[in-house]
Amino acid sequence: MKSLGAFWKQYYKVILVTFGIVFVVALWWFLSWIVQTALIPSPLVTFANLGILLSESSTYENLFGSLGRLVVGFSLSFILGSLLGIFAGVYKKVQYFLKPLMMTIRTLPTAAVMLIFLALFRFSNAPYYIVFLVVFPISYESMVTGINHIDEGIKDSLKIEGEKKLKSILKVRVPLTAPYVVLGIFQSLGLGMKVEIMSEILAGDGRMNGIGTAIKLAYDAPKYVDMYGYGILAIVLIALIELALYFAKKYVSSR
Amino acid sequence: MNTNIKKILGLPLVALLITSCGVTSSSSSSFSSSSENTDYDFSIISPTGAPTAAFYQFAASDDFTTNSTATNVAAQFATTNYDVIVFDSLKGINQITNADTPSPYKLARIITKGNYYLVSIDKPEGSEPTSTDLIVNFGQNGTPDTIYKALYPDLVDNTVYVTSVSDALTVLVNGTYNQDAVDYVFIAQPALYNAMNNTSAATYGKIKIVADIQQSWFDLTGQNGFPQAGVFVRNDVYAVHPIAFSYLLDTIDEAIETSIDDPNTVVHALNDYGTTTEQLARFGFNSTMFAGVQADGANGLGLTVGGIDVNAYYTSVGLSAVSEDVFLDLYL
Repeated sequence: MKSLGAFWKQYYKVILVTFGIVFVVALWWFLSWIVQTALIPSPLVTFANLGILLSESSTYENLFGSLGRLVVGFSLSFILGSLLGIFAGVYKKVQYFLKPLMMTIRTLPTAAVMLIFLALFRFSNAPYYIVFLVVFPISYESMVTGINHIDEGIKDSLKIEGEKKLKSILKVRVPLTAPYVVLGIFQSLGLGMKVEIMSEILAGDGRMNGIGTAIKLAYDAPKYVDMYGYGILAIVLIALIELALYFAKKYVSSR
Repeated sequence: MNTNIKKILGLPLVALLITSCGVTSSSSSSFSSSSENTDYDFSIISPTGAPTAAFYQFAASDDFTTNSTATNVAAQFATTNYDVIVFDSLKGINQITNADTPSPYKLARIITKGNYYLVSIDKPEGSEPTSTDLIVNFGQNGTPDTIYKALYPDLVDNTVYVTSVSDALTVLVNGTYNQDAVDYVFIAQPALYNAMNNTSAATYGKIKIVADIQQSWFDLTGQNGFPQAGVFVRNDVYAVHPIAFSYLLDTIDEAIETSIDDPNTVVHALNDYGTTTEQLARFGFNSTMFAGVQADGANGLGLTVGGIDVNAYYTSVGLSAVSEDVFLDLYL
């Protein structure tokens, strides 16, 4: 009994997550059983088909297509958002000046902006813009919030050193924002992947490799089982990235 | 693999050059100045589906764009991103004649004259739709809807609309709309072929063609087809490159004739282009579907080299005739 308690204490997170996954699959199976339509295939059929999908090279082209665009769009928006966030965090006047712009970008209906981008630019470029539009304000806000929440004592100490000096910013302020920035990354990665897939679907460009493109093609074909298969792959992909980030964060904290 | 539209257009250009040389020296020199105008890379956009058959030779060209979302193509009328837009002729003309923001394009060709069918789901042979049936149509206020309303005015109240032909296909293979059993679906080729041959569809073996809309339209109006997809050409580019456009239209005409008379050539071209998935992504159909609907001169895609009187159609559906300014001087 004691060993069972110890086992639970050590692995309860993994056990609960596993049960959570089983619950989601059970819910899905129940839904497909109730609705009885090809639009919601059963998990069994979907996972069997997933095996076939995983044996096709086009699946990996689509996965890496989406992932590549996400990495480019995310990196660009993260770097720009963070740089602007540092600037706005250090100089309050800049922060006030940028407030309306950030609020506008954050609250713009993504789908509406997407339609305009699609009309103006190449269809295949739209996902970059959309990922940028979603991730950029989150990165900016994370950095600004992080800098704003630095302990007053540290701020006072920095005043002696010169709080707006590059050394103070890079060696003290930026490292102290890490928890907020990491939280921002966690929030925006999943969201970024979601809008990446959405924008690929809306872009409707069949020659662009991507999970969204594959989902749209599967819908048009119609091969709904493939749609679900690609959906699962997107979830797994993001889960793996978040897991990697989680361990990276843990490793950095332990040092 | 990556064929340039300009290079393809070069073939008829060479043919014309030879012909011109054979006539008189003056015609040769006049062609020489004209040939500069043929040296032009067209940017073309088309929604996936039947009209793309007219561009099968441009499959690998980056200058030829296809898009599976019709609204993305429609939005291009507000830009000058493309020299040629292929789109629903009715909606395209509306964009041109829009009083507030007239689009800078003209209609050069009608390339599809109808590929619509009314089909029943799980009904006995010979069943006809009644006012108690649930009917699903697509493209509200576009050509399919206008034709449908003219042919079936009594069924309008029990008809529901989905956005695109893909959505109509989804309804047809599942047999339901919002959980309600659907009785009839108004759909276009090649989506119909796709549904009827989809062995995993809930409605497999239960779909029956109730009406060939093209025949019904002929019976009602005496018109051999109606303006479905049209080729719209950008005015300012046409003004500078009229001969190049003329060649492009000739190339499109030839592709359509090949698609009707010799579908195997197109089938081979599609197979050369890529896998069936790649073909579907590019054209909205694959070689098997194309062969199925075009075999034996059936021309299920309803391809045509012009020959459609747009104003006669407009009159038939109760719309005001459109001005001659809408049409390019090369319109057939």
